[in-house]
Formats: sequence, C-alpha cells, structure tokens
Amino acid sequence: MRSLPPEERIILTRIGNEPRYWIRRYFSELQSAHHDTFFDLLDRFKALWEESRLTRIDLCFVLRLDSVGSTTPPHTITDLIGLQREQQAAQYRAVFEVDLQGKIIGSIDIGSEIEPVAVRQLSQIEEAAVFWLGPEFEIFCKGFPWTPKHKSEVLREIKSKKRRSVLSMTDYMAVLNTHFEQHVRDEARMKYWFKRNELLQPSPEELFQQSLWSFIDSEVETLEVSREPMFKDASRCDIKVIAENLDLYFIEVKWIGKSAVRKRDKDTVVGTPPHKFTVARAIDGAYQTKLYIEKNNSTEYDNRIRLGIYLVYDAYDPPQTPIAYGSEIDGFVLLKPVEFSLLSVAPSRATKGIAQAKGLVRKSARGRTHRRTSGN
Amino acid sequence: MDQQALSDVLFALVAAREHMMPGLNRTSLQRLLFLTAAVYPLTGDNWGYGFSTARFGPFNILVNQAADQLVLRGLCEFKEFGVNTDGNIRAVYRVTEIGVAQVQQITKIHSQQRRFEWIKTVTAALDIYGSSVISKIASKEPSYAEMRARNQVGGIALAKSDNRSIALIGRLAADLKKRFNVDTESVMEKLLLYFDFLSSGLLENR
Repeated sequence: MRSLPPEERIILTRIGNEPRYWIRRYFSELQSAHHDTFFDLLDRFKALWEESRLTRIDLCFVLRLDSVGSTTPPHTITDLIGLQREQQAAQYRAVFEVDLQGKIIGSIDIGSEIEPVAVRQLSQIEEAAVFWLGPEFEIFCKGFPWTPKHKSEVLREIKSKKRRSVLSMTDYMAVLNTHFEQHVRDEARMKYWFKRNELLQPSPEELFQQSLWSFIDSEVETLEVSREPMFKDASRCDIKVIAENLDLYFIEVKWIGKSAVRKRDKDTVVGTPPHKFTVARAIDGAYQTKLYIEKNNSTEYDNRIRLGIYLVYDAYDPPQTPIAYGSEIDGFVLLKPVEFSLLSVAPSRATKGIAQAKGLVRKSARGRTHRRTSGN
Repeated sequence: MDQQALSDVLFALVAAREHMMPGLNRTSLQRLLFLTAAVYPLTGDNWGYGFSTARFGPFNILVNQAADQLVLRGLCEFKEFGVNTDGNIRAVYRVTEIGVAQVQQITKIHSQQRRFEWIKTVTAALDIYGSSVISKIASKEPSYAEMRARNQVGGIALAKSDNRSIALIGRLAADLKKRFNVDTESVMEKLLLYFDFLSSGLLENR
C-alpha cells in the first residue's frame, strides 16, 4: 500500500490530532458505541468555549462516563449564562461534572480559583477527561494534556453537527457579507495591505478574487463555481456561480485606491509610484459589466442570468464609496453594485457616536445628551 | 437495475427522514447515492450500477428518474416543486407513509435489508456534517475529482478492484494507526475518517 502524499499527510495529521481520537486512546469505552454522542459533546464544548471566552469567566468540566445521577442547575452545557452565574456564585472554584449527553450532574469545589495546573491534577487524581474552557481550550486525560500541533487549525476543523449549513446564493448579500467579515476585514485571513490604510499589495484584484472564489466553493451551496470562465460571446467574468437551482450569478471584482507595483524585470515590489484605480474606473467597470449581462442573457443561452454582482473594495482613506454610478446602472435590475471599505478603523473611532446612533441617548434642546430610560 | 435504483432512492429518502433532513432534491439524491456506492466495497460487494461524470457532478440516469417514479406510485411526495423558465425542474422529495411501509416489505429480502442498512449507515455518518455538505463532499470523492481535474468524461470507476475511495480509506487508516496509534476497526470509524478527510477545509467555523 503506498503511503500518503504530503498534502494528504497534513490533513490526516490534523484529523489525528482532533480530541475525538486523542481522548479515545485513554478511554476505550468511547471507542465503539458512542461516536455520535461523544462527537456531539466535543463539538458543544468547543462552541461553548468560543462563547465563554468573550466574557473571560473560565469554566471547567469533568466527564463522567458512568454517571447515573440526576441533573443539577444549570442543567446542560448549553446554558452558558447559567454556568457562568454558577461559577461566579462558587467564587470561580467550581468544576462541573457532566455526562456524555452534556447534562450537568454535579459540581466539585476544588478549594481555590480554577486554573489549568489544578485542573490537570484533578484529571490525574480522578483518572478522568477534564475540559478547561479558559483563554485557551484545554483538555486533560488522566493528567496528560492535549497538545496538538497547529491547535487552532485542529479546533477549527472540529465538525459541528447540524449547526452549520452552507450559504445560498439566493441570499447573496449574506454570502458577500460573511466573506468580508470572516476573510477580508482587517486582513482576517488574507494579507492585502502593502502599507496599512494606504497601499494595497500588487495585483490586489487577484487576491480578492481567489479568496472569494475559494469561500464560495467551500461554503456556498452551488452546482458549479468557476474563476474567469468564458461567456458565450468569448468575454470573461471574474467568478461564475451556478446555484443549486441552476440560476447563474456572476461576480466582477474590482478595487479602488492605490496599490504597490511589482517590477517586471525584477522580483521587487515598490510603493512609488503606486498604481491608482479611481472611482471613474470603477464606474467604467460597472457599465462594462452591464454590457456583459445584456449580451449574454439572451434566451438562446443555457442559463438565465439571475444577477450580476459588481463587487468593489475601497482602499481609499477616507473611503470614496458609496459610488454614484448613474441612473442607467441604478435602474438596471440585473446588476447589483456591492461595496466594502477596507479601511481599518480603531475601536474608539469606529464607535464614536454609537450611543446616539443606537438611540441610547438623546440630545436636549441645549445640546446635552441624556440617557434614555424605559418608556422614554 | 431500474428496480434497484428505485429501491435505493426510496431507501435514501427513508434514511433522510430518520435523520430529520429537510427532504432531498435530485442533486442531493445523486450525490448521496454516489458516495454510498463509492464506499460500498467496504462491505465486500460492488454496488451494481455506476455513475458517470456530468456537468454538475456524478450522475446516473436511473437515479435521476427514480424519485419522480416514486411520486407516481405514491411512495414519496414533493415537498417543494417548481419549473424554471428554462424548463429545468426543481423538486425536493420526501418519503410518504406508504413508502415507509414499502421499505419494510422490500427489506424482508436479505440483500435489500443489507443495502438499506448501508444507505442508513452512510447517511448517519454524513449527517454529522449536515445534509447541505453532502454535495461538497461528493465533489471531492477521489475518482470523480481526478476525472474532473483531467476533464475526463465517462463512467467513474467504483468497482472493488479500482476504487480510489477504498484505497484512500486504507491508506488513511494505516497512517492513523502508525502515527497516532488509533484503530479504525468498525465501518463507521472508517467512514468518519474518510468523510473527515474529504470535508477538511469545508465550512470552517463561522
């Protein structure tokens, strides 16, 4: 039998490091009959950790495999607020006992504020699996810590049963917003600034295109998604998506602002003089996209074009979006311009005026702000 | 083969109901049964009928027509139905009580019981990832993925002798044992390992 090629080994390493396999090495009773329940429990712990670390109230659970007790409040591990209140009431000394179904069946007071070293000792003394939900997600089995390589990637790969679903192109704004929030904003999963808030990397369009195509391919329900496919009239668009219901969407990806330039004869990238793409260019592109749609939406072609999306990333500071494309574009129902500003804004600047915007305060006639009370 | 495809589609709809999946459309049925067929040699047998590469994924014409025939016989029903302006039909199917009863009859035959159990097992494994991920996983099946990468058309090799999925499962299980001392003895363990591998990178946590 031939061995795995390198890329397959990487994936298998990540799978092998998942807690599901690791914990089972210490508890043979989990090997056969409990995959579904145990799988679900691990997934729920992970989800709970992602929520609980935001409030920084650490939680800890010891798994009782042979429990027969009745439940105690908070009754399950899904009740985050209840758990955190219990932890506060216990002066941060509680370790909750759970069964395989995730029901809370008891609580242990360890005598001091819970922290990983004490928790690890507990797992050794009790010969149990203990889950520490602190700043990090830690697992200890009989005193041994779970220490996978690339832990964050392993955690990310832990599957969520029935709680996740692919997005649909019928809600294309959710697709674009989710991609922007999770993959683009503040360089979440891709580096596009050469100089932050000033200059993009060279050829930023390719970066954004690749990222969006990859996102749609893995997270959106589609029959087909292709990059730079050819239209019937031999022109090309950036991304073509055929949704499950056979509707066709295509996406043109543009950017405005300045980018660094890769020198042709040298393998160097320079910031001056930058490449500039203006609002005028973006407007030109919108009209060009309108033309694509008109030429390729004829009834003699296979799929009806459901929508063309004109996606613009704005790298200007201050932003120059929204762009006024003109009535011809605004009135063309098959083309939807969507714009995102790439500007990274400090939290203080981003939230300035937020209280008033959310209607939490009102200004008096004298211009002073007053807190709203209920019924006001 | 016609009758077997009909029965398999009916079995798939019953399995989907047991896992509270919201009905299956034609594409989902194609892909679910394709994945089921791809790993069927783990039982020691061949699936019987094949799938070929088509524009939108693995395809078998009998499977494609089966759900509508089952509707005509009252064994399943439309949960949703529509016709696109280009003439393509969009339909989501779910089994009826008559269909459930029919499955109970069919599975009195041992070979059919075995087949039904297999479809249920694979559906249970895939249910961990969610019904909507089945399409994504099917497109990563090794034989199909390789043909697509080479722009090849034709039948997808799923017979025991040249089944890339089974070969992959063997390699993964051996490597997992060697490097992590983890045994994947049961069929469900092998399926979970295989689907974990194929779905790697899909649906990163949101």
